[in-house]
Amino acid sequence: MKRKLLSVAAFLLMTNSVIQAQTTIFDKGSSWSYDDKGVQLADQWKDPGFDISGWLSGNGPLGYGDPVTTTITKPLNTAYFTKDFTVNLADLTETVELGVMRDDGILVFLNGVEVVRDNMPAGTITYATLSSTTIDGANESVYNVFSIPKANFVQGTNRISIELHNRGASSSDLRMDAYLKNTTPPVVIPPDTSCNDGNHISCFTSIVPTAQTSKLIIPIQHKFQLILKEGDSYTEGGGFVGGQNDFTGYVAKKISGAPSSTDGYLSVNHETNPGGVTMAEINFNATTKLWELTKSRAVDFSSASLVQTIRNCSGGVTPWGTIVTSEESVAGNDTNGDGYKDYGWLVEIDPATAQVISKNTNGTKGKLWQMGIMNHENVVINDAGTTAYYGEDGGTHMVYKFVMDTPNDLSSGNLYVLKLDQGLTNGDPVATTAVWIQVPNKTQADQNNTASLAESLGGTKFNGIEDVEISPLDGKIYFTAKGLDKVYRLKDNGTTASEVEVFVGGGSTVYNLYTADGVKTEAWGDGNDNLTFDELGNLWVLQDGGKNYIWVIAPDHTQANPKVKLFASMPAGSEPTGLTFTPDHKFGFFSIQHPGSGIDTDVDATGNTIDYKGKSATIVIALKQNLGGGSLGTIDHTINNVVVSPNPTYGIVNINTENLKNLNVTAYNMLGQIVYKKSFAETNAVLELDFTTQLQFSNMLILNIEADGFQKTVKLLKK
Amino acid sequence: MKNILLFIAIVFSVSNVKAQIDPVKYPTYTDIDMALLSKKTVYSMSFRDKGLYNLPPDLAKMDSLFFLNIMANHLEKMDKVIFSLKELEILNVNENSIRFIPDGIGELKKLKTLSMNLNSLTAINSEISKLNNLKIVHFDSNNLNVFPEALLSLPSLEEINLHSNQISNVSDRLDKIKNLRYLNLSSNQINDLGEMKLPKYLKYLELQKNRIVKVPETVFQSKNIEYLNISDNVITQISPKIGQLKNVVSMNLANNKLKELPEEIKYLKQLKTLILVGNPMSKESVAKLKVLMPETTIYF
Repeated sequence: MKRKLLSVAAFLLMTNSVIQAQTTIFDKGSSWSYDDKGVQLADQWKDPGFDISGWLSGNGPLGYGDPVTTTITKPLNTAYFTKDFTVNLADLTETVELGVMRDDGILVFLNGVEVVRDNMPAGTITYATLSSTTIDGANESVYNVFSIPKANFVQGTNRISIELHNRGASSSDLRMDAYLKNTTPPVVIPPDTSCNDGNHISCFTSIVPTAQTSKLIIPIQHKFQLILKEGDSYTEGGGFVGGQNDFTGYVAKKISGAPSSTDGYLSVNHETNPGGVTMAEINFNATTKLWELTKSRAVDFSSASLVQTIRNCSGGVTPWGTIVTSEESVAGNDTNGDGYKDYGWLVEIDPATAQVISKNTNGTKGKLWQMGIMNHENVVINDAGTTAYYGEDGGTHMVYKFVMDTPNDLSSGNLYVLKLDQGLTNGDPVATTAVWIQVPNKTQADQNNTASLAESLGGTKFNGIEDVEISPLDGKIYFTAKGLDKVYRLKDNGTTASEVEVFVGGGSTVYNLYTADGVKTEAWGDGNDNLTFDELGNLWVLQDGGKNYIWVIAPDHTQANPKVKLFASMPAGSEPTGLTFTPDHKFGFFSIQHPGSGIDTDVDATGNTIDYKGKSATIVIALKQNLGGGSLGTIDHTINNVVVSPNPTYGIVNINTENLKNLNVTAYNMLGQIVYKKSFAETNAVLELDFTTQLQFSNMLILNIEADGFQKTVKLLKK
Repeated sequence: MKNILLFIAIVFSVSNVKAQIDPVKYPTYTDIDMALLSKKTVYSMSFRDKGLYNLPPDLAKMDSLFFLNIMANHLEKMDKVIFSLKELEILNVNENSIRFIPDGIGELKKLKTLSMNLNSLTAINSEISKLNNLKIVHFDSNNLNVFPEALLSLPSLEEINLHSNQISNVSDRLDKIKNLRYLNLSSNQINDLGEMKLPKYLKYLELQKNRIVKVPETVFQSKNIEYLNISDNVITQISPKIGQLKNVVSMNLANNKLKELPEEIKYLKQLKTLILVGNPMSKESVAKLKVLMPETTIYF
């Protein structure tokens, strides 16, 4: 015990000394020299000796269109900034933290050498080059953090040069500010121990936080496969797959009475006006380990009693194997004169027939009138098939509950709205208790006016209820409020609710992430949207806004003891929508809604190049061992013959690769930073690699060797 | 004669289907280049959320278009190209920054639905009164401060939505809009409805979230009203003439200054829902109402 106390004391002493060594080299709001003449500069502009005596200067933030200290000329495609500062190398930490607030893209040079390229395309950059994506909203004010190795600095005077690129000269704003300081000692987050066997879809190393890039980024442990995309022709019935792919629901077919994880329907909403739903049938080929689309067609809404659908946004899969699609827009029209407003309802679909199955009392097809009209988002139904929960995105911004008169029948029941006993302050529940208030829903006049009735009856207005889900572990109800950037949860007690609290989020809440590139931090940001639980109780949160990530929150997460991972970053311009899993949770299906036309082609698990530039796409994700590569027929996860030698080494090592395909070698130093990374599409039986430079600064490297169907970690020691 | 009837039947069914915008028969194109390349006639296009400042001029080539959605862009004006689309029946311009409607609007003779929510309109061009087929207009969340006079010349209108504007004056000749079924004037600045005359067939009337002190007795002459929402106003009393609303099914009087309701409310035999929360009524008054109206669910 005494010894333990001593080591804690030693740690505190160390921490203290580290803190003393921290220095800010230059702070936010510092003075910069700048060129805003709107022309290409000579290539040497970023070099330390370049004459900037004729440049203007001013304190940051510099730019136009947003609050700035120094206003520069507009409009510009690119503005150039430079600054000289002095360092004593002995005072610098091994890496130095550069924080840059940039709207939109930047290249940063230190002493003439490029050290950061962010939100900019690869290749040669000129004055005319535009940023990869538009930075807007809260992201314009975020200081993005980058690491610069100490080796890039020189004793004495250094010069940092930043070129700031706009999204387009017509953009209304352009802004930059930056700081430079010694790195705070990394927060140690142990790797996720719940994933020791690595065989669950939630077992992955967080991706490195990033602005959107031109490609989908998912963890190294996973692969994806494109299933269908906007504009594909339907295999039956004519027409083509609509745009704005949204809720993506896998409905298992029953094989010998059991729900299949390899044979099912895939229902994809189209959040368009006019709307639509694609109903596909998909099979998993065990030989190729790939999904095959065997049929696709449009769901038929062409009935006089239905009047089509609009903005099919989110939805749900019922426990009895149907799809509910949700209309996000309300319209007052009554085109068919049936007394119901045409749009703003939930609609139930039989995936086997691609027909609406909701029934009116006269036997015609109908929408789920008693569940009410509103800007519907998703709907979730408990396993017993007795209660549905859903929320309104817009309008009342409230959470609703529908208790069915008959289990598994959504056409009749009682409707309730959630009222927190003491409301919200700054988006946080003031108290932990709530009540469910009944909302009239039995007459057409009431069904057509759900929102205004719920509002008058005192339901609590959140801001943009996007999704409601039920935890498989504790049965609590979780829901997102996009406008409040938070996920809430509560315990439903029937007529009341308790344990109401914020589960995760807060736009400026920063979470630590254990990534392949060491420990990183990232703000939750705006726009938490769709939610899905896996069977282990991990909550998958899809983000529309912020950086459009997919987050995964462990079931034992609390705001005081966060357990947050980052699963994916969407291609530029897009948001992830509508994740659902196969019953065995090996596969997850979601859509990439409205990617920009400037994104890159990619290679998916089929090995083929895919192109979904400017087109919404629906994909499946899985651990690498579960998706693709099956045609090789030689996958062996227990290959022991792949060895790195000599070990210890002076630097040059041989890896006998057994002719693995798509080999990736990544080396990490003791700080968890990537110091080497290289990919080899085809390899010889033996691969020679040189780590001499990397081992100059580290006595040990961790090598992560990955290939199709293979992964191994090796400690490489310095001789 | 038989052929003519058949022809009429076909025309009717086609226009009926069109109104429903079947996504298979009338796929909605979201890209002008794809639409130009299409070998089939293009009937429906959507440029929603495309970050547009102007519409593509080639849109003029889509002369069979009956549906156009240009919502959620950065449009500050309605480009001329829109008015060249003579077959247009449904036009959605929501969520832009449009300040005025040009005269060209009068050329869209087939227009049935015009939706311009969430723009910056301060007036409605009187040319709109030339659109004899217009049934639905949505001008929610603009900067209108009077009820648009031009709408009074459109008896074809079935639905008018003007919520969340700055309207303080409402015409007392709304009855000229003979076919009107739905009228939403909620969240405006109305405090005096004058002697408002309502169209005969009006079914839904929404006046919530204004500063209305008194509901004129003329309103209660609208015998076809099924839904009346006058919640969140400052109404202190209701005329006994309310008993004339024989077809009202749902009435929302929440959050007013009502201490009691006239006994004549018992004549509203169709009334199933009555919301009274947020009024300074005594429990006794409410209990009395419950006895008077055993078929009505009262929320208090």
